[in-house]
Amino acid sequence: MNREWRAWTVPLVAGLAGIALSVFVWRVLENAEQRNIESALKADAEGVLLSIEREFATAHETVMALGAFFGASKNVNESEFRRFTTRLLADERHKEIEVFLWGGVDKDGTPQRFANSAGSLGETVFDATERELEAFNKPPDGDSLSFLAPRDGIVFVYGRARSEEQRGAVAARLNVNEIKVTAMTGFLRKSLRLSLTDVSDRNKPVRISGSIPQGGLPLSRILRVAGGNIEVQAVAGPQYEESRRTAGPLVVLLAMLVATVLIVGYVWIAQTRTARIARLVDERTATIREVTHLQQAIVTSANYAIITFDPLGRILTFNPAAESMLGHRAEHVIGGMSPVAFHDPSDLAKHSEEMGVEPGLEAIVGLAGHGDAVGWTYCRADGSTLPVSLSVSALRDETDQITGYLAIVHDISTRLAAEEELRHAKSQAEEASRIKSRFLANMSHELRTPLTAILGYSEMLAEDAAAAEEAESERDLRRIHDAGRHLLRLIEDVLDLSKVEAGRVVLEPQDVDVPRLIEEVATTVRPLAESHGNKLLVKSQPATIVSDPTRLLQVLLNLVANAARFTQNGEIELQAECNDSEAVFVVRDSGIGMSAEDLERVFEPFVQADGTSTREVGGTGLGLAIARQFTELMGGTLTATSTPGSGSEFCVRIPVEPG
Amino acid sequence: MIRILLVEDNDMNRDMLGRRLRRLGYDVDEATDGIEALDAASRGPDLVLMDLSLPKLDGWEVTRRLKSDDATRGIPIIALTAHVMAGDRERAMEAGCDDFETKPVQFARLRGKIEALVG
Repeated sequence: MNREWRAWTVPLVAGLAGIALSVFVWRVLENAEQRNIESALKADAEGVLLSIEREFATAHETVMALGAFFGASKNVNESEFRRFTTRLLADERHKEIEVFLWGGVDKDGTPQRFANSAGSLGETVFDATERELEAFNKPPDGDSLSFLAPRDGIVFVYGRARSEEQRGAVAARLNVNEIKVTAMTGFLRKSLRLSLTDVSDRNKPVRISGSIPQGGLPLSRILRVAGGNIEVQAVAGPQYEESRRTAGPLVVLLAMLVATVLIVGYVWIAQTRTARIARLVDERTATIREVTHLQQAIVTSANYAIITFDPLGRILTFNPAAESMLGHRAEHVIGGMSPVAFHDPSDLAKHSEEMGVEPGLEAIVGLAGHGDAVGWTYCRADGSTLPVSLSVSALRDETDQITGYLAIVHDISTRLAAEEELRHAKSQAEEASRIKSRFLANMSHELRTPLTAILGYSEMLAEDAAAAEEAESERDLRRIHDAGRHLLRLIEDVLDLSKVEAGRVVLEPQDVDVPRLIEEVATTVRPLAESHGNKLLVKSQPATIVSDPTRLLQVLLNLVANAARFTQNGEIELQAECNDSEAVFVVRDSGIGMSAEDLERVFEPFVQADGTSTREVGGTGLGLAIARQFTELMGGTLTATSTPGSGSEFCVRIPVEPG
Repeated sequence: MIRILLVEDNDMNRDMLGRRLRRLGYDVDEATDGIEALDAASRGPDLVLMDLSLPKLDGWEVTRRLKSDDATRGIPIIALTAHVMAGDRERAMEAGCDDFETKPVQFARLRGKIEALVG
């Protein structure tokens, strides 16, 4: 946050400082220039004033000279005056003189007046004020020069001459503007304003020419002109300052402002960049801290003992899982023990010998890069041992130099015990299975041996009784024989069921001609069916499927024989149909049927729909259980539907080829 | 007359089988164990009905010996056994038996097999 703030305040402060400095420097330069202008003005004004003073002096001398000339004349007539003054007026040096005048009295006492001018002023100059006329008509006594500053800005200079016969005065009217122009030669027009005031009478100053503007730099001097005082003021006009003023300070100001802008820009960019870098550093630092924290947490909370050590075997890390596994405290172990100390010495010696290295650290680091090593034994602080799996990895720096090793140790005693238990359980199960198989084989053998005698003798005796025509004995002996055969079937069925349940039946699939199979079933079962007064109907289409013919025959025989037993004087149908994927065999009877409840239980061993009918209908009670087991073994299904009193239907569906 | 050597360790079954074979018109010699069976076979029966579980020397071994002896190799042997588990028939045929019949005996079928071998 502070950094963000600084990112824009630093450039701002730099900018303000730059502007302030620029303005300050500009002001200093401006002041210096102002002073320069003032001193230049002073010098210029002095020059101008001197020039005006000189003009006045020149005019003074000219008038004096004219006065002297007339003073020396016996008489003055107009033509002479004109001739003389015209020459003066034509002189470039007397441009300031506008007109020459003569006023006097001749020897007859007649007043004389005449004038000569460069222009066309003529007699108008005599339209003067009372004072002027008085001065002219009554020239003062003595040789003197005086001036008058009449209201329209013209300065008169009087000269007085005296002779025996003549008295009179000469005057020259000066062109003040011409004086100003001459004085201002070399200056821009209007850059200096000049004003002339008659201050002979201090209390009544009379403006002769020009006006003084307000402001500016006034400079004045009072000139003594022919007994009068003229104050000349010079004021610099706007043009003067403009003409003297240089672009220097402004250029400096602009240059400094531009420099300020550039500096501020640079500082701003630098600050932004610094802020961005700082932010990046902060983020990275946070990430690194998180990662470090996470790594620390992983090491601390891992269920595996994590031990790291340097190439010399000095332990660097010993996590809590390692503490509880080995009974050592981390602070005692780190820096003070070698991982060799955790190994059962004889076990380490054995492994070292296998690896062809000296017993010690070399054997442990030799495991690096070989994954989980099982079969190692660790030794706790109390001397007890435990089997472990040991995974060692080399830790490398950027230059691929090994800086240490990481050992991850897992107590596998529980796992080994579980594995041992599992092995034991498996061998027990296998042993049990072997015992069961042997038992079944022995059972079968031992039951068949006495049955052989029973069946053999009873059949033999029945034959004897028949030969002797002892019908009663023959019937009884046949019953013994039948009971024996039933017992034999039971034994065979129990064996079949046991073999299926033990997973010992191996199917032998081969091509099976369906119609021939159906015929074989019919031939076998027909005597049984007909003995109950039933009609056996078979129906099949030509087809060949791949199946185990022995087992399939057994399934169908069981179903049809079952139907025959539970049906009296009815019909039994065996029907086969095949499509591309499955063969469907249906056995339908018109027998006693079953309830829904019985249907569910009928495939369980030793269950018949009506518990009491077992003895009446024969069969072992295992036929349907075996049929279903075999059908499912062949990848098919055996289902039944029935209506009590009107018959049952069993349906076998098997794939036309084993899946 | 066809001479049959009946090898059977169970007295009842030997008696029953012997009597029924004789009734069918065969001349029956009897042996109760493997050693007797080898001895009786040396007298040259036309056919041997061989129980496989026998004392002293079992039926498989007796069969192997008879079939490896030039003097007795030609005598057909029918295994007659209560061992009916998977593989039992194969083991009997491997030992050298010419046919295989299970106990309890279906007499009509056994007679057919005898006739097929010596008739």
